[in-house]
Amino acid sequence: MTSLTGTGGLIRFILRRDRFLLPVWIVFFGAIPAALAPGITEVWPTQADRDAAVGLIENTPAFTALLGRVFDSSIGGLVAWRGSMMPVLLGIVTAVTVIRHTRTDEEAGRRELLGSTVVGRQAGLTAALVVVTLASLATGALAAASMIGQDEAVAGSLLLGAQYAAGGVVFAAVAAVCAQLTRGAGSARGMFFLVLGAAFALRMTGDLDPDATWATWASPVGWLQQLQPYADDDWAVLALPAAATLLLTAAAFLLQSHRDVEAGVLPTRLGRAEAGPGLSHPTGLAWRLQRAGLLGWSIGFAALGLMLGSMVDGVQDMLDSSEFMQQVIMQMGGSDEITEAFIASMLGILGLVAAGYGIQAALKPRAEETGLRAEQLLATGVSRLGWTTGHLLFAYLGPAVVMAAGGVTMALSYGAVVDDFGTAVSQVAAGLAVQLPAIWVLTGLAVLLFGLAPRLLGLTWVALTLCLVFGQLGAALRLPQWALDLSPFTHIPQIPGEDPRLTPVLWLVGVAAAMTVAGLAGFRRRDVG
Amino acid sequence: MEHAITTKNLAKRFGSTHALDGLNLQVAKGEVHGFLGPNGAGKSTTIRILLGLLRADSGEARLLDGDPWRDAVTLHRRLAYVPGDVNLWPSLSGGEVIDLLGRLRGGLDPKRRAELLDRFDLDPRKKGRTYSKGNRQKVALVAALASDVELLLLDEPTAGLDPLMEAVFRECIVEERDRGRTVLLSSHILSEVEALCDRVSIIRSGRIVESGTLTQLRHLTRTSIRAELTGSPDGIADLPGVHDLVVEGDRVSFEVDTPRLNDTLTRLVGIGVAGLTSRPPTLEELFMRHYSDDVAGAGK
Repeated sequence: MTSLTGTGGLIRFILRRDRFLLPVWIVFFGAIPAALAPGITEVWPTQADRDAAVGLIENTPAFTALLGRVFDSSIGGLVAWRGSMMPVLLGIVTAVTVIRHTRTDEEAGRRELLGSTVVGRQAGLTAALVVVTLASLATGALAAASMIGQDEAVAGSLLLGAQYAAGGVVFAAVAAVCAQLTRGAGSARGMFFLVLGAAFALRMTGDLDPDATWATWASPVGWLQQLQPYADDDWAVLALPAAATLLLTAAAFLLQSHRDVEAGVLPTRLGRAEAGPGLSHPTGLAWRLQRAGLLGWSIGFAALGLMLGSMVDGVQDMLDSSEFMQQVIMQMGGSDEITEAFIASMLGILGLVAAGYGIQAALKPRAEETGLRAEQLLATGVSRLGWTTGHLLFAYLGPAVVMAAGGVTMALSYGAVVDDFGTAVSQVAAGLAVQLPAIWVLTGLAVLLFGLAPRLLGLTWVALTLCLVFGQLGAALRLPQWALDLSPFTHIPQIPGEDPRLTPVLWLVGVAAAMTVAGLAGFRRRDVG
Repeated sequence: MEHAITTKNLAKRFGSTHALDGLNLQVAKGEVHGFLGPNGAGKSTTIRILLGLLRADSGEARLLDGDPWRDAVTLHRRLAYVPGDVNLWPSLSGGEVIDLLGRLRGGLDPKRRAELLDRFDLDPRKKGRTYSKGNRQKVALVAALASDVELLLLDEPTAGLDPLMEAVFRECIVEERDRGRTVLLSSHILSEVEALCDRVSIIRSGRIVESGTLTQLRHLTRTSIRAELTGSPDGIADLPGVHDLVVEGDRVSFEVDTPRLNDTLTRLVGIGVAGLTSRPPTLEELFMRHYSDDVAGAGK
């Protein structure tokens, strides 16, 4: 096995490089189930409360779409349902880690340096996979132990831990394949998120449409959910992620042994010998560098919008078929309100995801700077502001474009279901428009850090993660209101449903603008490079 | 003499390191000026301050009669810069990068572009991510040399080039000088500087330690002499300025401080000379003398 020579050394090297990050995410994800349990006990203290809650949850399509179905009304069952995104988020972390230690290193030429020493061809990929697998198992063990510590059922707790570990491992294997296919780490990550998005969409479809249970079983996200910890405790389902992991890992190794170092499997083509007329100003260059990302995100959003909008049909079926829900609906003011609340919460998700695009676009100038490409441009007749503006156009207007792509398909499919395109279009348009100022606050934060403290730019992702956690889990984690208020998304009105309040929206725009101006002023004064 | 570049007491710190520590550099208009020093001496920092990418902590810098920080954009239309480590956009072809950089500097000469691509043997259709280090360097060089500018700032531009391409580069620099352009050529390749530069500045630990024409600099160092004498070599060892004397029968070899050359030769002629070879000091010897102090200093 000479192709594995040096794996041990590389494992130690990865552990050294990630000595802070690795323990942080192991503890963070491992602690989530136990952190959710007290909140659930507090909100629903008796078994009767919890049974009623499950009845409500099962009939609230927005919950089902986001978090999947709830299988059991025990505390453990509700914890597993409430935190069902967490094994998937863990999978994102392991996937990004695998790509960082394989393709990113290779792209930067570091693998070539290592490859010239006594290190086998497969050692790098093996080392990365071993590290994330061990870390996923540690996370799962921590999650299981902490739930057993809270006197939850032992078998269910162990399976919950296995669910976390399986999420980490299976998505790491997906990423291992993506890292072989493309030359660039960025495209490998993009490909991974495409696969993840498809898996998530399949899981949603399977849960909302009783005729499409196949979709659940076609999705790794669906497999994790079908383990049903604390309910059926279906250990046999673990065979699916395990088999997928083995197959994908074998595929990654096979691909790696058939390609050159630094090459991808997908071919690279020749370009133009001369530049087109667009490449005469920094904005033209920004367009060249960002257009593929914008297009990809727009297509993804269009697909997501189409799916979310057509779910309204399943939502209404679900409401009509339940007598219990009929009563609840009467009390809440009619089925329109439920549909609107569903649409509003889906638009909120679109907004958070679109903020990810905005941040990514706003970080591009820094990547250009540290990649030493910016200095070549800034040594020509291009001002610092002129150069940054090209990229910031994408950071501020890009989220509007991708959300519009999702909004159009969502409004059309939703309008077709309710047979009222006018209302659908205006509701979706207003609901998406109010997301923009909250997105701009995160983009503004990125620009502020870029200008004043570029080394801390990674904090922007931390901020987005916090917004996501506060928005999705804030109430369940019993966080105080001031903490929830830190997220700009807390302040925007829920549309459709709530009255459009202009004041908080204007505040958000003002905060975003102030941070942008301060960041740009800082960038004009600081050293480049 | 009109200057394209002047710096006075330029200082720049990164944390606790003094990258530049009172740097005084003068580059006359129309000359090829060698900027010589080992890695980490402050060459790139100087150039990046001259480009307005970094801001000096103290001291003064003038570039083409402007302030490199405040007038960056207008000055940049009159110069071209080639970094030592050229990174290209992975998805852009070499030809696109050349055109982009040229246009942003205010336009480039298409005839000269085609000619340079041919001479440097560069395929402009390849994507940035597929070029080797040497070919990335060529992309930046073609973009700079085909631009219509007064000043070229070249930071170790031949680092990745093979000897054949280095020869092409030297031809190009000679042509640039003939067109009246000013070139600041930062390098640690002494033969390159020796072959191309009118004047040289040697930088060490963020200061210029020596500056002048090669002849002037040579004057500061020693000439190697080998001679076959017809008389007794006694007394040569006692001459002022003579070092490292080796006597083998009637052959002597030694080094002499260049200002003492005349006196020493007069004495040799007095003894009687049957054969003589002398070699002027190379830049390398000059350079090593400045930096061997460093090594000695570090040993203390």
